[in-house]
Amino acid sequence: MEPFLRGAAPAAPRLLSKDLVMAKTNDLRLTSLTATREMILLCAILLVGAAFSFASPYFLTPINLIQTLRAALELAIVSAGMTLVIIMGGIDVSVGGILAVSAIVIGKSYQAGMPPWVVAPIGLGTGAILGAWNGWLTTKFKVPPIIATLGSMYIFSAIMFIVIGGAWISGLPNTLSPLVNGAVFFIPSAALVILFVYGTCWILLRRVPFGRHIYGIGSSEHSAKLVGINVDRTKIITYAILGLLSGFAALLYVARMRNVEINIGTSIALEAIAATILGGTSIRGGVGSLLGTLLGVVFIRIIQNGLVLIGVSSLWETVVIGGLLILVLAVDAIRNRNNLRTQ
Amino acid sequence: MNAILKTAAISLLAATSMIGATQAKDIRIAFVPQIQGIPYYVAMEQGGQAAAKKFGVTYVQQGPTTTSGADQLRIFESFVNQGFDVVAVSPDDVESLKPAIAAAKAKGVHVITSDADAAGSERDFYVAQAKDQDLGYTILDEMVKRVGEEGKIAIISDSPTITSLNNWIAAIQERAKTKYPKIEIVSVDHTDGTAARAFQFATDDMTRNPDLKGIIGIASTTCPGIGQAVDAAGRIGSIVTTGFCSPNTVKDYVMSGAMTYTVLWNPTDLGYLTVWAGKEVAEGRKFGDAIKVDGLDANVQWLADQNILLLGAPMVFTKDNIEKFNF
Amino acid sequence: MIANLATRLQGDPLRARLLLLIGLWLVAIVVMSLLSPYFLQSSTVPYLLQYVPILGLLGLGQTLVILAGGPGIDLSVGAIVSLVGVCVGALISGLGVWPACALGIVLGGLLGLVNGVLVNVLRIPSLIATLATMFVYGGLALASTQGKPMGNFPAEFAWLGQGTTLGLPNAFVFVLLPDAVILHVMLTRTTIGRHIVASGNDDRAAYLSGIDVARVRIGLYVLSGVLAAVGSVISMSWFLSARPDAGTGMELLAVTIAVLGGTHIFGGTGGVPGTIVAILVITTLQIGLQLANISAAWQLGVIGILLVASVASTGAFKAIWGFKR
Repeated sequence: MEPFLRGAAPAAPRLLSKDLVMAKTNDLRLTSLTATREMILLCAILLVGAAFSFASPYFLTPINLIQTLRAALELAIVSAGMTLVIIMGGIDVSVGGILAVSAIVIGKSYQAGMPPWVVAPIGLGTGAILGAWNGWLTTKFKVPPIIATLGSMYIFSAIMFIVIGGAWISGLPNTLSPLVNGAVFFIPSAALVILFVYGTCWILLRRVPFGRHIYGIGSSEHSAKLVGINVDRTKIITYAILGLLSGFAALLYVARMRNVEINIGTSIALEAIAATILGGTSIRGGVGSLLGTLLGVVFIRIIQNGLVLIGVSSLWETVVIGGLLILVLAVDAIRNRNNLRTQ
Repeated sequence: MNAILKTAAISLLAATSMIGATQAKDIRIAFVPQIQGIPYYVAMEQGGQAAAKKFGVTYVQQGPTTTSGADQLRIFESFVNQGFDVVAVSPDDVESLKPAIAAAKAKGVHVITSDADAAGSERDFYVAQAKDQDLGYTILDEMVKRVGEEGKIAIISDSPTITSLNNWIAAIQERAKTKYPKIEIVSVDHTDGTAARAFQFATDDMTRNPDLKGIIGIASTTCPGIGQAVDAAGRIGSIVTTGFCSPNTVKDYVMSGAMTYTVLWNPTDLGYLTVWAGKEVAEGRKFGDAIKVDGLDANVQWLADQNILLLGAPMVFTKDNIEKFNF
Repeated sequence: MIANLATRLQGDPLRARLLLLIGLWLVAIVVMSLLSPYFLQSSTVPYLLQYVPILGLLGLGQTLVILAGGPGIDLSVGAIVSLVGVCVGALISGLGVWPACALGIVLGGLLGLVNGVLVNVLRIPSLIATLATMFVYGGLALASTQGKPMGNFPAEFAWLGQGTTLGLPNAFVFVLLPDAVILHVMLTRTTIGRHIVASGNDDRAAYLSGIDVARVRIGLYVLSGVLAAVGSVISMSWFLSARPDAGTGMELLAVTIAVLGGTHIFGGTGGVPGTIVAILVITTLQIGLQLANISAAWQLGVIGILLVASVASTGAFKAIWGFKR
């Protein structure tokens, strides 16, 4: 099945399989498409950061920055997986639901007395299975990703409500919280976790054939199939990876909050998509950047943090983030108007 | 095949008519909470079911999956259409329900509010845990007792569209303005109902105001996040935090000091009282000055001029007494 | 006879979907009446139909936007409902109810125009563009009111949202039905309708045959905004208040209805009757389950399964037919 968004308007040609070959021979080719966006984001972060530090003396303090980083942890992890899926030409709006169901399974496992080294694989596994379900719907049943994951979102939501039955799971052990709140030689462990996740995803995307397949399917699924890539299997695995990462995020959420409540994960899907697109990944697939996504996540969290610090009502957040998203996309679009390559 | 289908159809019909038959005898009371799936309303349901068993009525509780007025309306109207004798509701958004309440009354259904009021509507009366004003005043008074009459306080609430929460915030702000002019409420933030957002706001509030003396969590959903934030920031003991939280959710934090005290009432009692009151109004009895509720210890009052059935004064939970409660 | 029917259906997926949905609706009615003795009573019809107009209008707008291809989608419709409501609420004291509503509808069109320009002039993919405008519009509605609803609507205004004629809700009879008929006629019998379907089927061919595809699509985004604004007016009339979260969550339901109704997510296939029956099916399921006191959580699950099954079956259906040929 074609990715949700196929090709551009009439005149623009698509990234063809020859780019797959070029990708093999010249890695930098694919990065340069997103390098400008990454630079823009970095400048934007520095600019916004500077503005906030002028407006509030507390912004640029180490403790504030570290706390913001910790708040960004779950979003960062989920966004990494989302980047993979979007590069592949798919999308997943049900990640909030995957996070919620995984969190419940984790919570119930803790309550049943299982130790963290048993609960962790269970949580990760739940996420992976739910992600694979999405992948399976998209491939075997040929349901377009947006529809499949929309339906899954409803279904996971229902599962969550029915299982949690109204009682939050509170007072859970925070054994894994050092992963979030600790520090190794002054480097906050949250930063290390993010580096680990992004590093692994980067290796997956750039140094292993699997990553080439992801780019290939995102560029042109048809060509990818002709070149001999097992499209169905790659898709299912990629969605499963996103699910696994959501499960990981759930694990850390529980460690941090020690609480599983019904609203868990409601806004994370849209935030992850926004961060990924801000970071330069094209919703059409075939082009993407993990670094860009990370910068996008940082950007969103900094804005949320900064607005509170300067005393602007939190209700303006979405306006700011939406506005910036439009700005970035519009600028990009105008710059690329004459550029025949799809972006 | 045909025979199987016929038997199935007949037994289904028999089952539904049996349900219909039993329902003709019972008084049926329904309650629509603000949202499904939080411990507070689970506690109310326990109280409601206990009262239902004791008084021989049927009790059903169904809430929306989001704090949306429209979703709640659908559930409210469903109960009216099912011919329930009494429909109680804790409105998310008062305006959305007003026309439906009027329509229900016209059909002969008794409508009462419980846990949150629908001021200006045609509801029979309001079963209140405590008056909105008293709740706001109490939580601020207790805060002032602990931080003094001067200082900065932050407020963290849930969705900005929930009327009852806004009433409590307004009461706190009004109390601060009139009685404690030197108390400065630096911010009112709204979460999306998750502990993570409450955590984020609490952390950022403490960063922004290093001399912040207190944080008040308006909705029970904000409590775990605030407690965790104080713990994670290492501010236990140097900041007073509180909220309208159920003891079980915050027990750990109160014992460790991350939360200093909480203000609440007993939602189980509230649920019990609601069902009792529903039964009274369904059977046509009016409330007098002396209220005696069978099975309930509380000192219930009837405020005739405002049509409010009051459960009692708000309760303050601290390290000393929180262990005694289990809800 | 079945083979004959099947062969005829094979050529027209939209008709097949319509029949499937009608069949599903009938099954749903039967099941719901078995689940609850309160389903088959006269009060159920106005109760049920009360919830149809607003979502129905959004679903119709969504159907057209998706139909014209691109691929097109409009995730901001819910936010437009909220924002238009808030603006109308603010304007009432100065202008009176009906002029304020008229302005609100114009505003809806303008908000839709922004979407149309972003997607078709700037070529920003519709998913992301309308996601961003959803953030902006929704945030504006909430931030400008701080979450508090606005009242002050005169009582006569309630006629549209609360009144009934011949037992059916006025909004259904006087707004949704006429709009559905007009849009259906436009889609199937006029030139512009053919242009819309052509743009959705193959925008390159359409462009080459002289259709201004961009203009058609922009027009449909404007229409989607206008329909959302009308929905907002109905909502305000229903509740006699403008709530800043009036439209929250409606965009995904609108997409669900459109897709369930047979609209193909990449455009080219879709229609009004399918969407209308789809919303009737969903509302019947929701109301029926609610009357049986089956919680809203289960209702969500049913909708999700229905959505996935409906699209999955097309794929499986095609595979089976392909096989048999």
